[in-house]
Amino acid sequence: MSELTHAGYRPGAGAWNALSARTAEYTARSAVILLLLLVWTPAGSATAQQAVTTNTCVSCHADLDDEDMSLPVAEWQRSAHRPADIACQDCHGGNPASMVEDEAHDVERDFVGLPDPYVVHELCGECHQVQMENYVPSPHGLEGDFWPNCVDCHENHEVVFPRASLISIPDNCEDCHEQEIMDDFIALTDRGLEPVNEFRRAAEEIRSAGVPVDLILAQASLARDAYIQQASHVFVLDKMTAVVDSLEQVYPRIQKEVNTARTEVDTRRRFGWMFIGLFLVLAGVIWLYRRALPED
Amino acid sequence: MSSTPKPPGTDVPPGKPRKSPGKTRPDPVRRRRFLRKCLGALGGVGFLMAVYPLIRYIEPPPEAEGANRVEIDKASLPPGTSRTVIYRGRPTIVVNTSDGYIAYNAVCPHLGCVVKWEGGTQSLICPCHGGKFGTDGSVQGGPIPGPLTAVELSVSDDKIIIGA
Amino acid sequence: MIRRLSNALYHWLDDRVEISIVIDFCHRQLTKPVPRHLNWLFSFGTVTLAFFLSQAVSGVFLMIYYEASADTAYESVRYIMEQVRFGWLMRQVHSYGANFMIAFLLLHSVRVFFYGGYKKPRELTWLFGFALLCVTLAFGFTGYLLPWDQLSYWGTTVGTEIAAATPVIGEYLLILMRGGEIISDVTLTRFFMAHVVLLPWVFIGLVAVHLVLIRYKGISPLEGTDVPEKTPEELKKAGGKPFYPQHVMKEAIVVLLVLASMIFMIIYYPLPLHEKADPFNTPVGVRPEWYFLSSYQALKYLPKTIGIIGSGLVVLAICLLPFWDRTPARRPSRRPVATSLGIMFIVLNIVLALLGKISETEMTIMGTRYHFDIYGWPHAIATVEEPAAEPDTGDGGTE
Ligand code: HEM
Ligand code: FES
Repeated sequence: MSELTHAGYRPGAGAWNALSARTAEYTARSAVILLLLLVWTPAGSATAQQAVTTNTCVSCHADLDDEDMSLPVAEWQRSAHRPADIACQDCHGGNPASMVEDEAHDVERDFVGLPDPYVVHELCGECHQVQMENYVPSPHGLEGDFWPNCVDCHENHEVVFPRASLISIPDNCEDCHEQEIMDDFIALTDRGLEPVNEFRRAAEEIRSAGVPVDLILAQASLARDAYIQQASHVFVLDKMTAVVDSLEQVYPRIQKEVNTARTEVDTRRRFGWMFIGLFLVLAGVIWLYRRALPED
Repeated sequence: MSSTPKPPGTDVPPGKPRKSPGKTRPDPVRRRRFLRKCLGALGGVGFLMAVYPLIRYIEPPPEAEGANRVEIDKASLPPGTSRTVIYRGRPTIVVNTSDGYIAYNAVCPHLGCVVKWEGGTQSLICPCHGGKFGTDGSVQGGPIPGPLTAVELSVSDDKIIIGA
Repeated sequence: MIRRLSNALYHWLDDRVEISIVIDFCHRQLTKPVPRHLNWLFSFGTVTLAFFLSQAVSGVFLMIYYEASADTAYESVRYIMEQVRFGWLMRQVHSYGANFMIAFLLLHSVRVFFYGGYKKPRELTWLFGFALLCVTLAFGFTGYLLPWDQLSYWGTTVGTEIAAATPVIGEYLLILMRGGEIISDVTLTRFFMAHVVLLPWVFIGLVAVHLVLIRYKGISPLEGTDVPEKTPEELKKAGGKPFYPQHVMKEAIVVLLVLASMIFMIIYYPLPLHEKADPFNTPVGVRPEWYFLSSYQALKYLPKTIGIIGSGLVVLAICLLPFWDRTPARRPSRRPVATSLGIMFIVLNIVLALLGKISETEMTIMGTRYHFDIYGWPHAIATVEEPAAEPDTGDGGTE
């Protein structure tokens, strides 16, 4: 039932519907992905909302003299996992509520000192499912005997938001790969993601000028998600190129929205300046008139 | 806004003797009259400029994306029943007839009452002055000047979609 | 042509209802001379009035689409800003106008204070002005809730909370204001009623008396109250200019310049609409609007009851100013104590407001990151070497 008024007006709602339809054009997997998105975003935020009670791993290890044992805490505190409330026990097991060393390191409670490199992707994959699904069949996964695994590229404790620069970590990728290959990957990533970053920057700028950008941001997010879910951890240049190519079909459409919004900003400003000009001229004329009034 | 104040003196028509030759002191009365005209003109422009957005503001706002499309669950419209929804700001009647779904702009072409579905006679009737329409929208009785306007309709697996 | 027509109309009316009496009276009042010392500062009252008119017009237009209920208020404001043609302009004019109006109202009161305009025989003008100040602040307070976004919801929550500190009746007062334990639908509709029905009419009544009193008594002279005030004829001889058109034009120029600067702000720094209000999720750093900030901050430093009684006394003192400051001098330089007390009071308020603004925020100053606690006191929390890496590709988690 359509609404006559704005009672049911949900900004950007139409955008999402229209968009899911559009994504279907270029990705057969979008349904799966959206489903996964649903599964996996709340997982992150639900934990984030738990009250941050004292974690005994952190409180104890932070003060240990042995650098190898205390540094991970410092690193983790800088990581993207900390604000998401992903802590030691999520990978190392044990009991983060006990101050007794034996209890805290209880093997019965799945304590592991150093997680097996062959299962690291499963640990990360609990939340980062799509990445894991792409990674396992990739040349880095089963084929490459799980080498490199997640933490080889993303760090184990100081996990940071991924960046394109991670593709060419010094002393990491070049052990196996030629620089040219890596350059190709970097170029492809830029081709796929730079426009998205560009749209977001533009959207922020336009938003601060008062013009709604929900549609642009929704489309940009969808494109970025498509890239991350279908290309980022595939590690096969051809497959990734195909994804980026299909994304590039959508970008002009988003660009058009950006341009329309920019024009709207300009129109508003021009309209405003007309008023400002009129007011100033009026003030000037009144001033002249006042000076021309007779003395008494 | 081209009527910016002219520099002093220029509002004295050429050829007329100035009050004090050598100095360009205009006659203050003329000068005031000129400035008053400027004020009037600018005020008028300002008034129009202020009124324009106000009038545009009260015009019906452009429809949000997706507003020109109404979806009805098939399950909610069993055979032989009808439902009236708002489509593009107008009451629109959708009927599940034995020959399939039909949709009409429900506003009677006579004097604007909203028509109803009458299952017994398989017709749309207007409660106001006895107007009667067939399932094809044609006039079947009453003081009606013309047929009902059909509304675009399509059917998917579980939905009836009115509009594009 | 137009002149002849209006002349005819005038005579027609005059023959029947003697409007010439009214018109002559108005003309005499309007052309009464004002003293020579009137400068630009004396137009702030008119600027405030102009903003009231602009608020009335834009407010009426906003009401066409605004729907006052917790379910629809936010959506309708968004609808106005995003769907309605020029809706963005209407909302910006109204919300910026509110801020400008209060700013110029405060400037106006400050001007009146420093020029001793409240002294005998203008005590009533001051009292009505004070009532107008209260009404205008109430306009701001009730209007702030109407968009029903996070900022307005929680700003109003902390704002109404202040009332609860009133001794004895505090809790009851709070419930009365909110219409319940928390800000809800009920609060919204009563605030809406006050904002669009009650306050406007009260304002119109008060402002009419305020203006009549001003015209009747004339703008205050600079001489002390012990010198008899000049009659209009004497004023004219002393070089006073008629109120209309000379002074009115000066005021019109100021009004136009202020309006132009408001439009500039609107097109370059439009006021945002934040997320919809969520009664279960308090954002960090909630604070009321800037014009309540200094008193809000002051209350933090004092025990609750002392704070509320103290600020109540300060407000009362301002209200009754003409009755306890009965010194004759008007010129600021002739009353150094009042002038310096006034300056100190203003500085104090600005400092408090700034403290309120930075409290509960973080800021990096010369490489060190500081957290400002609720008192606005800085605590170093970290040394920042390099700007944090920008999340480039994100991890795919959508907001
Ligand atoms: C919405 C609020 C108000 C409006 C529209 C308003 C308007 C005006 C106007 C147009 C004047 C003429 C002189 C001038 O503009 O400086 C005036 C004078 C005056 N106002 Fe206000 N005013 C308001 C609020 C106040 C407040 C809050 C106070 C003080 C608490 C106040 C106290 C006075 C006094 C005492 C005068 C006479 C000053 C003199 O004769 O020198 N007014 N007001
Ligand atoms: S309005 Fe329908 S028959 Fe008259």
